[in-house]
Amino acid sequence: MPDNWSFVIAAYLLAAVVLGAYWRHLVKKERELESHERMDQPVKGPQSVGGHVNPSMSGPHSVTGHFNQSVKGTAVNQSVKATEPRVPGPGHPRSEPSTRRPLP
Amino acid sequence: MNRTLGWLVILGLVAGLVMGFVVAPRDAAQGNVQRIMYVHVPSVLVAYLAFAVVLIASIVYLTTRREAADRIGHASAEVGVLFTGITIASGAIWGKPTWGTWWTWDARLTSVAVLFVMYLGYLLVRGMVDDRERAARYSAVVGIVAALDVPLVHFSVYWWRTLHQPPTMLKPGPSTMPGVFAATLLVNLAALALVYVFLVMKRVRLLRREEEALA
Repeated sequence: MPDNWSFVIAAYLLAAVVLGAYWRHLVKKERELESHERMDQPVKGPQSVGGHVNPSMSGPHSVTGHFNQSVKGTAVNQSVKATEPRVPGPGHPRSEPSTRRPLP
Repeated sequence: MNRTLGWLVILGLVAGLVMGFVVAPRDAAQGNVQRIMYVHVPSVLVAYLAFAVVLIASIVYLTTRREAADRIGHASAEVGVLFTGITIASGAIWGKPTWGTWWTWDARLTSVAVLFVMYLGYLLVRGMVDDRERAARYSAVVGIVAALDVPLVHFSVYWWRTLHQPPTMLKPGPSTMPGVFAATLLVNLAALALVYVFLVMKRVRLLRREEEALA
């Protein structure tokens, strides 16, 4: 019977390609997760400036667009991404005294 | 631990290739094309192992609701599907020069194809159901039902008249294979089993981190 080396090589290559592709898929996923975690990390660190936000203050006008999380009682700066400006803008709840509620 | 296992995987794969291409002699009947066996047979045995792990993890999840069991089942099913795919493809490549056809609706081939589709279904169920707890519960049920096909695959060559040869490993009675062939097969089986463990461990870790990121 002829040796059919091409079939042998094809079978081994195919196995290597399948396992290698899955490995690359896992590595890519891991990198995505790491970059996601890195983006979240500075927010939880010592750069935090604010306290809790009154849920009623968060609305569609918020600068970060992430204030919906604060409705659940999360600290403001945990929802602010590192790439976003830290300087209070016009829609920032701490920048406009008029939007603050008087203390009881 | 992970790095050590990675090096063991590389070592195992190199040893398997050396055994398969250098140490093991050319087969008297089939010639060198028989070397496909060192990928084909270990792949299906590792797939059996993966699906046995899915079965155990599914039972554990349904009885204890431990998320770790669900993650192990999920990861093992993914890797098991990969190895089943390799088994089917390498079998087709081996079948062409030896049987004269890439595929035939033989009992063994058909039951393996059904196994492949069932575990694809397991993964699809996970992706289709939004609620995490329900997805885990449904897929655990699929994981248990699909495992019933594994003995059917293995014994199909005894129960039906098939083109596929009877098992060379996991069969009753003493081995009829010459020692060097059996040793090569075992080394490749160990190497692919290490690959399985390595991939499953990595996938389980990633699944846990994904869940933590979503929480």
